[in-house]
Amino acid sequence: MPKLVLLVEDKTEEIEKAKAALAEVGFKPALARTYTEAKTIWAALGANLAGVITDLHFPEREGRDSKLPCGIAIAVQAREENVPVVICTNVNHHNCEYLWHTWVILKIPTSETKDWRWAAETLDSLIVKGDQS
Amino acid sequence: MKILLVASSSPMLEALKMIAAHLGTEATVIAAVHEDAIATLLVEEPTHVIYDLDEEQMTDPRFTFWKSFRQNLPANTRIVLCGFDRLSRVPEDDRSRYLQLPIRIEEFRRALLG
Repeated sequence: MPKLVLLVEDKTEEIEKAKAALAEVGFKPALARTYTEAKTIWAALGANLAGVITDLHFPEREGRDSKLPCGIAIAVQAREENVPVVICTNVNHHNCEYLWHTWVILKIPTSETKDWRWAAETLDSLIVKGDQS
Repeated sequence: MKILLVASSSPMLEALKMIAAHLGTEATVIAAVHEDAIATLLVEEPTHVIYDLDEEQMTDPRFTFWKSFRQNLPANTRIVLCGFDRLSRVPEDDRSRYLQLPIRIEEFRRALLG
């Protein structure tokens, strides 16, 4: 059975790319488009959740501002719960201080070029590392 | 064949179980409440789904279980939505797969199994 990962992304065209990349690495995505939805699905998946791949900017709930950095909250929760997490965004850390913080202080692996394949492979290596520790 | 039943209440789940039992198949039947439906869908990988689309989910924006479920539904999984509400109250996108209850079991079987 493929490993279940939570994919948080609000843009349809990116979702399709992400799903393809995750499938190539052997993941099965549970898709959420908002922060609220991600939290609900996360709670429902419980121990079945192997990891999280999240965009950085997406709405808190449907119909709200999509420029909020809700991905930070998702990443921090994953770190607190010891769930492997990777951020996949197209925001450069030179232009975005809070991204610098997640990357440098929290040491959360981050693709700044929206490279879903890299994000999926990185998540996979984190999960494998976690299994062995 | 594995059929996933999704409903928000025990009486509705029991009603769906009765429907599933009378479909005349050798299917494995599993059940979930709306909150757990996505996890069950992804873990159990059912071939067919019977989903109770209750009024709150159609009209109250706080209830987004169906939208979440729909976007995680594999393309090859057959699904029937059902409920006691009139078809006109169902979101337009979902009307083609909605069955208003009560309904004859033959119609239900045709909609779910083809």
